[in-house]
Amino acid sequence: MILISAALAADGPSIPYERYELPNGLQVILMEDHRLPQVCVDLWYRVGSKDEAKGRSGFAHLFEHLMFMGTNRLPGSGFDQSMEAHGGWNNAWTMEDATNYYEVGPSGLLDTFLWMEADRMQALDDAMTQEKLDLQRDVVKNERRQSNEDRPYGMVEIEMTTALFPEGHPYAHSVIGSHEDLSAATVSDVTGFFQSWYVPNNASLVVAGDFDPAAVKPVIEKYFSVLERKELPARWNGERPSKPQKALVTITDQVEFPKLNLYWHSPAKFQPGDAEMELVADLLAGGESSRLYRRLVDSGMAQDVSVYQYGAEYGGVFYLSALPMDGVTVDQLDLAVREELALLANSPPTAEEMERLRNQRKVARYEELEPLQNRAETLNRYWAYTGTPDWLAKDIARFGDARPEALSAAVSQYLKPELATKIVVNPEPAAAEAN
Amino acid sequence: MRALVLVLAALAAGPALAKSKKAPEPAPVVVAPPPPDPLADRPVVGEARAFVPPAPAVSQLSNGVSTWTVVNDALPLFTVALTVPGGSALDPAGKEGTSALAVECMQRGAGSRDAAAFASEVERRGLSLSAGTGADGAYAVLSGTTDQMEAGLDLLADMVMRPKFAGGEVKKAKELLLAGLQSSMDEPAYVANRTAQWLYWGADHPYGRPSDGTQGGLKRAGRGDIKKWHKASWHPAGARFTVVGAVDPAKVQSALEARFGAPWKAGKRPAVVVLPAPVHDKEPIYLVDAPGSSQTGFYLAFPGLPAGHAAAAPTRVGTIALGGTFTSRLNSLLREKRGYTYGVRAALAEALHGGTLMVRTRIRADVTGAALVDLVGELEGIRKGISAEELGKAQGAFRQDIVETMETVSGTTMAFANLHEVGRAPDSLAADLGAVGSVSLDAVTPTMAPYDPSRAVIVLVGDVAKIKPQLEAAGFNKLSVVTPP
Repeated sequence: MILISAALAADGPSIPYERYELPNGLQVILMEDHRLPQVCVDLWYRVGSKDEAKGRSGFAHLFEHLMFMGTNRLPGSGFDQSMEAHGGWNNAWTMEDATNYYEVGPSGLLDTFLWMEADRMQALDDAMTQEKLDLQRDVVKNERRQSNEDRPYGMVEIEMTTALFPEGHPYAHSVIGSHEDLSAATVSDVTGFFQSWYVPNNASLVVAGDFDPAAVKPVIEKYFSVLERKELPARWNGERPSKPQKALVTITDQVEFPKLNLYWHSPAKFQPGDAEMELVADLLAGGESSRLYRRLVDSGMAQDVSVYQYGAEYGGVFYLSALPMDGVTVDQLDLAVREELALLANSPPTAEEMERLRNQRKVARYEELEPLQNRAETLNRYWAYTGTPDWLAKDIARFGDARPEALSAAVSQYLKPELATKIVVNPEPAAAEAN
Repeated sequence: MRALVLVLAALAAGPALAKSKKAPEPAPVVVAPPPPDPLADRPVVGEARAFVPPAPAVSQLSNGVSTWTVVNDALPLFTVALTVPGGSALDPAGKEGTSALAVECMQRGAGSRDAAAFASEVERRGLSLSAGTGADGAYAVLSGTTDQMEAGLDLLADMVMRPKFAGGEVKKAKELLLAGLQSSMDEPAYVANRTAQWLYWGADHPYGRPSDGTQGGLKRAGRGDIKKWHKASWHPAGARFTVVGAVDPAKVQSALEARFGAPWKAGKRPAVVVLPAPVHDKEPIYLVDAPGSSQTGFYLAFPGLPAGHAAAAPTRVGTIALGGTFTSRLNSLLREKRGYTYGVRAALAEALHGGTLMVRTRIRADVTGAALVDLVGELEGIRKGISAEELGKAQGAFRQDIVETMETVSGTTMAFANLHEVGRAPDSLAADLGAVGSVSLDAVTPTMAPYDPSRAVIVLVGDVAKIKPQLEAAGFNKLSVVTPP
């Protein structure tokens, strides 16, 4: 039987899948696609930087790195070597709410992928050592240097966390963490974190691609049933902040131009208002006919403007940044942005603007569903945030159903001028003089 | 590996057995054996299912323009890529960036529409339409949903044949490119790449001159220059279409013929003279100063091969073994053993008239000297050959990379357009896959000879005050601080 995933249903794309739960609580989602001779295993753990202990910022991500450092059954670099020997590869990422691991490769590697994921979910802690921790701590610090410290304007996203969220809030520190906190992590932290969070009832396993479900189910049963269900630590249940902690933060960087960054609290992932805010972002900066591109870039005030809505479990962040042309100040950009937001709050998008948003979204959705791993991850994301992988149709509908007036209302509600955190990056004096 | 697992399992069972033996009970006790570990045995890897990349349907427009079409009907998407020879190689001397400015301006108003109307028409249909330039040629790419393809091709035809080049738009585009270039110089990776190409090929070579221009060149390039470049570049001679998506090749052919067949007037393309790359022999290590950097950007350029060269397959294999995957030699040493970096990669850059083998990484500033010693050691090692295990790994990685490229319409388009642009055969992807799959160990060693550090151009972008003493202490005494082009 051949099933084409992401095939077009009457009203849009769909991702056919089968879902079940093991007695230990592990979610299993199977999605066949035989177009190409490859498989993907995507394992999503509902633990991220929001679950880190005080003084351990960056730990969930550091832990992600340690997941590749070997077990007693498969020591050393065996995890990577075993799959690369046959054309497979893997990667992982950590965010505030989750940590996701995935392997992709020729179909014959499927059992190996499943075995390796089950092995490390069961026994990573038995083989943890100080040496492994120290090595990956260095690698993560290099990642921080490359992604933030030595990247132009790269410290803004770190500054944002404390400027927007109150102390003690799970999002009040960056995913990458601080050097100090990374240095403080111990082997005992690693094993404790593993035993608390890396349990089957906190995970969802997607198997996608060129495989036979009848053949893979017993394999999943055999490898993953050995894992025990555990009681999870209590989740944060605090109050969601409605306003930022700081109205203005100014930092310097080795850059040629200053930069304006504005942040607001916004709706949580997949919650009411989230789609409207994504559409507002597209309306403002999704292309050269967008409002802010015309107002700032086409007018010669800015080199670039970008806007996005980032929804997460405990609330979202709406982000806007603009890089001025020489001779234009950050304050001038700020003023123009706020005028455009006021305009949008009072006058809904036109029919032509809504047509653009709908068509651009449609293409983006199709393109997002093309790669196998993206589809696997999408099913896991839906499960993690909505409780079911069966959410694609609803996801499409929430954008299709959004009315122009709802976009203006969302701007009025969430993007009030007094609710913004402004982070200004100024060039360091040496860079400015050299310029 | 499997033996080690068995040994550990036996050791784990030891204490329980010993305890049962010491039990004083006289009656025989049947001790249940520990339940078997379902994870004790590693699964066997299955055979890889056969894979042959798709071959494009090949045709020609009435004016000779070659057209390749690949059907991928998983989703209602399409991408059209049009390439023309020349590109930034046709930038007038002293006006580097002319083609970059021209392609930017082509997108700013064409046919009956001014810049704003053109952008609105493209975007309200959910289309993406862009133009770009490189040292081997210029290109235009259109993509979207298939129901918008005909309308999109009208816009593409306007952009390619009837750009307005309005004075106000040229001025705006130039200011944006100049500012963008200035901002790019904040990026260590960009600076390292730009400087290495310039030093490796030479300032007068099309591959050494930055295709995105220089501050001086862009300032000097005027509206007349870009119109002249456009006229010389965008005509049927040497132009090639590559189309991928949920499309019917016959309908694609007629849609392209209607717009780019008879209506596209013939033109004359100036010859591009490309000299061979200069030979580098024991050159200094070039340093670009970036005070305060916590990392040093490394870019090493070695002699490589032009696109389609007969020795490409074993060179690809050796390069993947050196730095093409996570467990490659360079990443294993510099990241996983030393902790010096977040990652390091080696790759081939194959162009029409020549290529380079390159190694790129970002290294912690305080271990720059030690990392270069390690890097040189690995380069010397790879020149002695690779193992059978590394050969299999590289072949698997190459195959999987092609499989994944075929997942997306845009990826498939770019893969075939790159082959089409440099004049390779339509079945080149399958041929390359076959060639890499049949590479022998003996064939790899001689192709690794160019990874000779004394023949490389090595550029390090970092805090010179911090890294220079380290390099000198490590024996790298021939250093030269340079200003990027």
